[in-house]
Amino acid sequence: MIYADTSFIASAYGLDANTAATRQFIESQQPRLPLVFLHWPELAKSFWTSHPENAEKLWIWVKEDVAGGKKLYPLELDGNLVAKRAAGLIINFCPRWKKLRSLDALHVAAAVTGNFKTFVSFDTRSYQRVLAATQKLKVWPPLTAEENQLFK
Amino acid sequence: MTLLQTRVDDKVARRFEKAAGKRGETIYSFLQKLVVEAAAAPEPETWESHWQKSRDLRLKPARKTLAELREESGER
Repeated sequence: MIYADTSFIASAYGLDANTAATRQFIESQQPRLPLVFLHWPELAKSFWTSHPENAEKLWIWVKEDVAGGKKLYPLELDGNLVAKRAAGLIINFCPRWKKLRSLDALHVAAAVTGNFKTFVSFDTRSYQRVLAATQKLKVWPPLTAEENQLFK
Repeated sequence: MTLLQTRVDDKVARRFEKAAGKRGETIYSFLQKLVVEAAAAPEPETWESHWQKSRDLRLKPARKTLAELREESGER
């Protein structure tokens, strides 16, 4: 069971530096990815910022795919539970990682709450992927050397 | 309860009957309508056709990835 951060889904539907890697992963895994409440605002931001001329089409495409259920599916998680779990992660890790963002903790908390095993994200510029690894989630792409340093 | 000669859960059958009634249909005509609609609906898209559709959109490569956008906006 794979949980994809919005960075992965945005690269799958849009076109950016990570789209080729996204395609490779999708072709090998053929994942059916959950869309939770956290994904929608970030996808909107990504489409309307990076592809304003096609944003509407991309938005409709995602909505159709969620309804189709073969590539994406809607996953309803208890928002309060996810938020409380995210708060717990922040309490545990924020003293060490001062720049840990609430949104990163929320995505990791969503993956844990949904009992996912793999966490897919291209956000190597934050603590999100390292945080996922601390929660025993298998992270893809594998942690970078820099992230591994943080993990220790 | 038997609905259209198929054994279904009582609750489901009652709901179906109610939904048909609300639409001014009998359970038979309502089911027929649903079957016709389902048969006409396009197959949900799979990842196989995804990349062709993406190419057809002729997207311009984004200058920044989502991670960079997050960082740029200083999201906390």
